[in-house]
Amino acid sequence: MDHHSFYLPNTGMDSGEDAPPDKDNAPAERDKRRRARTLREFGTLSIPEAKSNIHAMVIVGQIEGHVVLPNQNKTTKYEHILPQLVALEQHPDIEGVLIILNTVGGDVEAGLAMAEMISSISKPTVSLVLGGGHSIGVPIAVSCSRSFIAETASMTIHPIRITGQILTVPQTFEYLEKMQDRVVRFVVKHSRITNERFRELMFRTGELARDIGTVLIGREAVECGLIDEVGGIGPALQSLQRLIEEARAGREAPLQ
Amino acid sequence: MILYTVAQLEIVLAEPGPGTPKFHEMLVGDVPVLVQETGAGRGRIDRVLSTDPNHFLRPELSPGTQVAFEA
Repeated sequence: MDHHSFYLPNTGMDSGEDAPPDKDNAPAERDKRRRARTLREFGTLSIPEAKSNIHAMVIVGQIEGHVVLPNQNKTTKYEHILPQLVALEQHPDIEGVLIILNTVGGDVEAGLAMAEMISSISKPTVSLVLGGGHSIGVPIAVSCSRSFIAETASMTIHPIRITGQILTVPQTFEYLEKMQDRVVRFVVKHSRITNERFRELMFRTGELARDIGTVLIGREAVECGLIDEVGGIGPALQSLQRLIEEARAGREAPLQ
Repeated sequence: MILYTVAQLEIVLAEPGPGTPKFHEMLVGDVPVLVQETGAGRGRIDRVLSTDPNHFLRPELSPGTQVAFEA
């Protein structure tokens, strides 16, 4: 094997001396460390893989941002989702993206980053809320071209809280208000709900045991204009296929 | 960091106990997966991190499959 094919000039080895041959393999060794092989061998013929023009992105658990959450949390990380969205936008064979949500919410910045990315993708996107799409999951759910919610799924709309040490000064309140406005503005812009209605749901008292806010279940999310339709995977995929066909027809239309 | 979540923050931010599993992101073939460590250099696939639906149909990538990796 040609050791020099692994040589990288900017890895601290260009001190003027020839690096020992095993050091030349360092990048390959590093790469190998991150690879796993399955322990069971499958005695089956490899079947040619069918290519799908739709890719699915599953956003589950806590949405993780700048801080790594402790291991007991199941998380979806923005460093996975954001580059994957770039790849989906760029890939010529992928015509549509299905976003599946079952999240308890999470980091505001990470959630808004994902929502902004999804809303600005040029390809058709459809979201499906299953189980729950709470808190910062709400802007992600409404960011798609069309949104669906399962009949039993729920979405909790409540105010943002601050954790840790806080200064009890008016500026803290103003800062929270600003953070909340970012979420409210995004949701109002990307769904049929009005600013007044969304804020009314957010600050309603007497609905939640430990908090103020509202839980919307299935149809209620559609009735208040947050989500477009009640449905499961079948209707969501049909809707995505329809949007893909419309996009194709738009591309193929002759210039007049 | 502002967490906007319905999960109880005491649980989300709790210190992980001794039994908390360790996870590693890895590639099996070309597919990114999340592997739960079960011993030195051994683990089981917890989650497929790909967006390609076909990757989820591959038997060798199904969750629970034992994998070996260089620790």
